[in-house]
Amino acid sequence: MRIRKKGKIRLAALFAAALILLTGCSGCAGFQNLGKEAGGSSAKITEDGIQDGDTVIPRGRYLETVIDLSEQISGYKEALYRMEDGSLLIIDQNTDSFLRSRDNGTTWETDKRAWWTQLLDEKRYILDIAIGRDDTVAVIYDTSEDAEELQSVLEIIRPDGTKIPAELSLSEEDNCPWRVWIDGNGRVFAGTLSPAVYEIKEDGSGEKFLFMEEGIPEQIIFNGKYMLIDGYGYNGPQIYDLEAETFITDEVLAEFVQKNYPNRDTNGGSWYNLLYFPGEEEEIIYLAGEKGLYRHVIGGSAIEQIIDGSLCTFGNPAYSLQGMVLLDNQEFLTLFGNKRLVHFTYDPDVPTVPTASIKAYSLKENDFLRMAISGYQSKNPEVYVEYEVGMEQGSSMTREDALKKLNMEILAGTGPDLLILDGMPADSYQEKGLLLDLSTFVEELTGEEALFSNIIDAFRDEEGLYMLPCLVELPALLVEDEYAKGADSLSGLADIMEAQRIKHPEGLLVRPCSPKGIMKLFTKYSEPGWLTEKRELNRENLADYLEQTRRIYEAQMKGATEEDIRSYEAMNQRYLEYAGCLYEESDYFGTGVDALNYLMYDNAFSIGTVYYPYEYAELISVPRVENHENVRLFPLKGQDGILFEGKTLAGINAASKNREETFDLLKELLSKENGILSEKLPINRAALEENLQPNPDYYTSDEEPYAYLSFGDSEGFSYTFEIYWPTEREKQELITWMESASVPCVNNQRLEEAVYEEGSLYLRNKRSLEDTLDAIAGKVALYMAE
Amino acid sequence: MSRGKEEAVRKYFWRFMLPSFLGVMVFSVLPFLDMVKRSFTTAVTGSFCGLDNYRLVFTNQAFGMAVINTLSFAAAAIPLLVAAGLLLALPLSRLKSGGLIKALYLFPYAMPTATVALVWKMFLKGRGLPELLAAYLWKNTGYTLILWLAGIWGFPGELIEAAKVDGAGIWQRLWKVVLPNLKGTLYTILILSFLNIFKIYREAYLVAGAYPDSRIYMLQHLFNNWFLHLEFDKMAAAAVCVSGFLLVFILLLLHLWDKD
Repeated sequence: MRIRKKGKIRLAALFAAALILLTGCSGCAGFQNLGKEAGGSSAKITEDGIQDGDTVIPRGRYLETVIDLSEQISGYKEALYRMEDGSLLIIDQNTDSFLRSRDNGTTWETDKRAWWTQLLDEKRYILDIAIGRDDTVAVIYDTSEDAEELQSVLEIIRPDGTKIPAELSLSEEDNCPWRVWIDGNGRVFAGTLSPAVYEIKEDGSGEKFLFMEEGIPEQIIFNGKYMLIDGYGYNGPQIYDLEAETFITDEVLAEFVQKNYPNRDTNGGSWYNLLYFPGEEEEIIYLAGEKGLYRHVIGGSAIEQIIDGSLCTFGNPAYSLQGMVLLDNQEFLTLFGNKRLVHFTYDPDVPTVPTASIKAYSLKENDFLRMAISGYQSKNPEVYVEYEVGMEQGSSMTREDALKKLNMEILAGTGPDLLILDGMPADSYQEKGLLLDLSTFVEELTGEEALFSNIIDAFRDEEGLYMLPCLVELPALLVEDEYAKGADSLSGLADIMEAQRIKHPEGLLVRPCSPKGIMKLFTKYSEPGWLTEKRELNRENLADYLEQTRRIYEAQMKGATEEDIRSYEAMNQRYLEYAGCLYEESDYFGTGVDALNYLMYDNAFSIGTVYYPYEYAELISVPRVENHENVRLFPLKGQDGILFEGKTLAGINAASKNREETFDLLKELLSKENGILSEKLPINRAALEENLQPNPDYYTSDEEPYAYLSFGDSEGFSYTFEIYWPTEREKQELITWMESASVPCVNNQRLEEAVYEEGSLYLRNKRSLEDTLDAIAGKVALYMAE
Repeated sequence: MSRGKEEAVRKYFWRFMLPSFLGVMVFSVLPFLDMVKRSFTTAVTGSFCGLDNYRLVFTNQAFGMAVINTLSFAAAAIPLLVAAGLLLALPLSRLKSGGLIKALYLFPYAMPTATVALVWKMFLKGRGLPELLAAYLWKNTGYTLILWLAGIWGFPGELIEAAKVDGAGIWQRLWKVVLPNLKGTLYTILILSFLNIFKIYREAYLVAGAYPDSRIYMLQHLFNNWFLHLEFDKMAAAAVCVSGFLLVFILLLLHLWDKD
């Protein structure tokens, strides 16, 4: 009996020890090494995959090679075709000759066609063009002499050069031909602004072929007897059997498309969210989109993933899909919108899924990070970057829920390697030792990798550099020269508002019409001074902010009509319906300095942030507008210098077991290439300089407009604004501005909320200043005490 | 009891106890021990920091305020809840079948937190202590009532009959017979009500957010906010303190009960 008892005790002790061990180990996870690399010491390649001990790692994956066509194509409205003889053809609607390749896209030569060159020389607007496998071309272009009314014609050009003008008897609803498609046998089909599809006969006559109940067709492809049609608002692609002359149902395909690509956009045929193209056999079609490449047999029960979008360029939001063809040997060639061709070839020896992984995290979807991941993934096919978004678009996850989940992962030792700290308690993370000191990493970035040191230094403290922004926005004020001092202080702005109200007794002087909107617009000026160094409320600075914003609010509301207020509230409501929050609570509020609004409505000034070079071009073009010659763009200054807002704030988890890979990903994030793709204001100096270069297709000289910005409303009011690309001097001024920005804008959400909520009563004159300050102090007391 | 029977009882006792014992060990005791360990280390790096976290917690104004608020709320809410439950249970205990009424009283308890918050927002204008108290009572009275009813129906009716025969009036029967026999029930109700005090945070959070009126800023608010800011170290130290307090409270209650 005693022996049995002892045995039980031992068993229990062993069990408890095992439990403790298991529980202890559960928090040790970090680097997920999914397997060893091919060719590693213990791994060997077998027929089934890579043998690593008892585990077989599946092998075989498409890898990509990028072909740069930036010297040959414009990057706008292009299409890629595979011809009967196996050659490839690119039609670029901005280039006066076609491009042909006879070596699967490696090299390209011009394929001049006189009629095409003539069309472009005559500056005809091309609505659409298509080419058949036999070289038959169908083109729709505008013949009108002025821009008022579109007069589009459709012409068919046979391989021998014969031109056949198409004669379509269109209904009023059809309006005009605007899309054209050619099947594998040279049959030409045209789409109009109605859901009808016309077939163009040999003699050029056309007759109605199909009427699509679902709406206007946007994309049509052919494979043998099948015609696949898709468009905006379609539940899924429709498949028409050309032989049986009937539609066939493919629920598997429809369900897949609805689930994965519910909002398919073709942007008038210039790029595609989801591109269909024919496969090697009649029943096979391919689907390409941000999630990768898929193969489907029409009527089949499965959709097979061929290429995982998250492992290659497909997942890069900066690369818009323009065309894709299947080559011999099951290779693929994809034409992306930024003048890049990507050749996908199958490598049977590479593991199907990368053998190592790192994890990147951001609270909201971050395109800049996604671009960097895609770039990194292309260069490092052996490492998988798992990207987790805390608050996926459309999900009900709140910021707090997402942060709790993240913190739980950090606590469990499974936290991300790279963090985008926007919207996160970055200071707490730094204070708690979560973030790694990046000082040495930054020192090594030289040459094309060099960053604006002043921006970096603004984030450096005595202990080191724990986070750094990848992009910046520059708070700025667009105002007449005489009011320049407004850029230096909030009271200066209040003076301008009051002066302008005397000049313009009616109408809006700035955009927002609510106390919160007004306060929020001017927070950047003052927020760094709301707390003392001891993190106590600075009542004096806060009182000044409230007093000045009240002056601004009163000046605004003195002349604001009921219609102005209603219109502002309607805009807030529209945002609430579509974005789930009011306009003044959205991320877009205060982003951008609205030059068009300033000019159209004679605003007192325009305030916001300059966040990309094109917007800078808009702003420096304002003085070229008649009667606005003395308007200037001024950098906003805080108490300690020129302000800037750091965006895509990156940090590395100090507990990361994959530092080397994470540093490489961060390097990619800060790279010149990624900065250029963003088209914004990156802190990579070389990228910013490149982004300040105009697109040569639109730029002629400093004296000629680069673009036009037009506005028109239903009441007949219209306004057109000519935009000039910055001159060398103006470009240098922006770079100097970047170099001198030294004070990062503070964003203390808790404090802001309290100030807006309580301050609104003060601005509406429903409470005294002292009471408002007391209320704010009461509201933030708990937060401060924590 | 014969020796064989005793042995069989012991055998089955462990067989029944082991699963729940293991559950408590794995899901409560071990995590608690981990928390105790974390209360002596830094949040992320895990370096030993002695009593620093405890010092930070005891000098933290928000912690002091949250403790006072939680205790004040408990002091106001628990007696009210206990009394309300009993007052409703006494007349209801005379009903032979009160299934429907019991179900109605339990209805608020079964309601999802979000619904309770919605009801609060609809019917109560304020976001302060009286409203929180009302929400707590509305939600928990039914549950307390059921516990009281179980206690009342659980003791022998002969005792009351005997008291009646001895000439005891209604109040005497209540004070001298019923209530002394409901001590065990009261003990359960007190412990559960105290634990439910911490759960009312969910309603308070949904109605007034992470930083509500300072009078209803509870310990759970503080823990939630600390968690968001990765203040695991302070949280662990504070949780150890709160657990210690609860243990002392329960032991004290038990001691007082045993003494009587």
